[in-house]
Amino acid sequence: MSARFRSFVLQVEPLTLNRNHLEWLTLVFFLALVGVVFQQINTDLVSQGIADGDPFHNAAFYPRAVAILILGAVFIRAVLLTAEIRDTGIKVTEERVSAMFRPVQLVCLFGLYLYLLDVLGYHLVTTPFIAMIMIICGDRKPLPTVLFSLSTAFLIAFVFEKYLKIVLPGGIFSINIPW
Amino acid sequence: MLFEAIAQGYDLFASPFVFALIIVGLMFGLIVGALPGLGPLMGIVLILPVAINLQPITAMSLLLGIYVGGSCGGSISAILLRIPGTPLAAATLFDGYPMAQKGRAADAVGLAVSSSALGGLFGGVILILFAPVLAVFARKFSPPEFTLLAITGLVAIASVSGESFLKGILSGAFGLLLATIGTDQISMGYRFTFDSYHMLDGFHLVSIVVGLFAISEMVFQFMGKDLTDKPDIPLVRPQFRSVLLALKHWKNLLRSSAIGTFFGILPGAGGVVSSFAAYAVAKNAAKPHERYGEGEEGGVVATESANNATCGGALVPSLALGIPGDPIAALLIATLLIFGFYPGPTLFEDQPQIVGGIFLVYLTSNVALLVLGILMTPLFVYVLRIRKSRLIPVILVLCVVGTFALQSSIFDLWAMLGFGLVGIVLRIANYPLAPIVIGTILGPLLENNLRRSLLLSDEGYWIFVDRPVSLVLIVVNTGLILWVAYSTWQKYKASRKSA
Repeated sequence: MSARFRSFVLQVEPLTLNRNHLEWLTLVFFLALVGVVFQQINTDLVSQGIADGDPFHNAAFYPRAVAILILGAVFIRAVLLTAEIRDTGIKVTEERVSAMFRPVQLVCLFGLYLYLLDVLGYHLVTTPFIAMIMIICGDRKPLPTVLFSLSTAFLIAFVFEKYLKIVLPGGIFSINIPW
Repeated sequence: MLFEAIAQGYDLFASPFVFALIIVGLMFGLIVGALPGLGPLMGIVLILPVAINLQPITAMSLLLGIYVGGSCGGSISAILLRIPGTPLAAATLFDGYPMAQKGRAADAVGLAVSSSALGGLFGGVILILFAPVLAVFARKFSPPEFTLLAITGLVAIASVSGESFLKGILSGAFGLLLATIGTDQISMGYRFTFDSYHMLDGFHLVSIVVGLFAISEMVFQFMGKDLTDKPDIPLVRPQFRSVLLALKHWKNLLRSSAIGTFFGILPGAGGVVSSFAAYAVAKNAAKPHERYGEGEEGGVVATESANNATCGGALVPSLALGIPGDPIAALLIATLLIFGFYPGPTLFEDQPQIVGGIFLVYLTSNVALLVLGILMTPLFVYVLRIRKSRLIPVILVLCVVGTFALQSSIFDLWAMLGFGLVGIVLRIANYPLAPIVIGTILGPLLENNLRRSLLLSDEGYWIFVDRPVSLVLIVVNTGLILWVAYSTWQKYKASRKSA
């Protein structure tokens, strides 16, 4: 861990998350979904001329009904959550934000893998990806890590390309093995 | 109708390739079942992209093999490690682990496998006898009944999933919304596509399911400790005499299988509820000398026969009505839909060979489970020694390659990652994920039938009250919601008292 990164961790260390924060975050997510539904109905669906008429011909009727159901459920959940916090206080275990770095690390690495898959292709990026995850998980022996990641990447490619006739992403170099 | 379906299905079923895939499915199912944190749902999610490239019955043989094997595999780690591989096997460790502690690990695993296979066969017989009858009854159904059936499926799964009914409803409604993305089947207009051609058919179900379940599970496993640990497990070799051992408890076996099948038929209940219920009933009916919880054979027989019988039960409403009872059944329905078959009464009428083929595959899977489960246990014990540091990257790459294989689309991979993030947040906030899948599957059925019902009706929504079956379903749903509201209120009052 670099000194700069360590100092960043120390700065955010006092930040904590608890389940109530996530509950509210989830309710905001559902509210955002409802917002998108109404925004799309009043713009895109109206411009296509499919947002009016009887329920059978009105393509907006059903998503609007589901959005209203979500809105109602979010409202009731918010009321209950407020009551729960008022009655019991926040007793749930608080997680340090720094504890989230590890899963965030995996998600970022996975996102990078997906990006590079398109650019460099399956065969160039899969072995390093498997090896990286193994190293982050704690595997320290270089030779078994390299051998395992190399053999797994090629075995999976062999099964999918040879037997299921799937052409895996070749990237800008169009690297595909003619098994 | 039944014999005709089986005779026609036999032609599709009787092929070495189908048998081979049943074996492959069972082996894979037993492995993912045994590995803690995975389970039959994850197994099916990982294999689904491969399955949809096969012929319908061969694909179903692979998936049903995983379903049957995965429902049993969890017992192996429950007995040997005291960690149930799947929640389905949680009740098995009550007596399975103490049996292993007393030096009877091989007997316990053998009993678990035998009881699973026999319970599964019981569920299969009920499936074969009951599903066609239900399908004939459902032939009289019209859009209002199907609308209410779809709502019942969602309400039922929400009412038993997780700590909060509201959370289940929100998850289910999220699934319903996801199903609306793409081209509207009636107006042919585009909904929520944001002018992207990738979205014209909506998100692919496999991207949604792999993201929600597999990616989020891998992130959770990654957060665990000791990822490089290799558990030290003794080698176990069960014997075929375990079948006789299980048959000695024939009353318990029959009773627990019946309980399992019943809970399987009920949408939402599933194998976990059935195995705990069967265990409780077996314990209550125990003879004075039987000490449940201290390594009693009957405990293993009850839980394992019940959770595998649930599979057969869950297939009854899935095939006969098109209403999935659990997320695995939802994926099986989705697979049939991808092949162009619509589960429900019309499937029995128009494609009896598919129904018959599925019946035969399911029964054969359970017979094969008996043999494979006993012979191959040493292999599954070996698999339990695999380090998570190796398992996590392999599963992630399989998710990527499998999802990419569907339509050779990188967009599907990004969608999978997006749903993975949604799955992580929802799981941390204790939202159940199963209703999302059920909602996505039931969405088109619900929307089309709701809109058709209102087209048929001269009195708006009164059409749902005018028809007897839909009225009964309204009463059932209202009762379910009131019961959930009442029990939540009771829990709230109790928690206030204790606080």
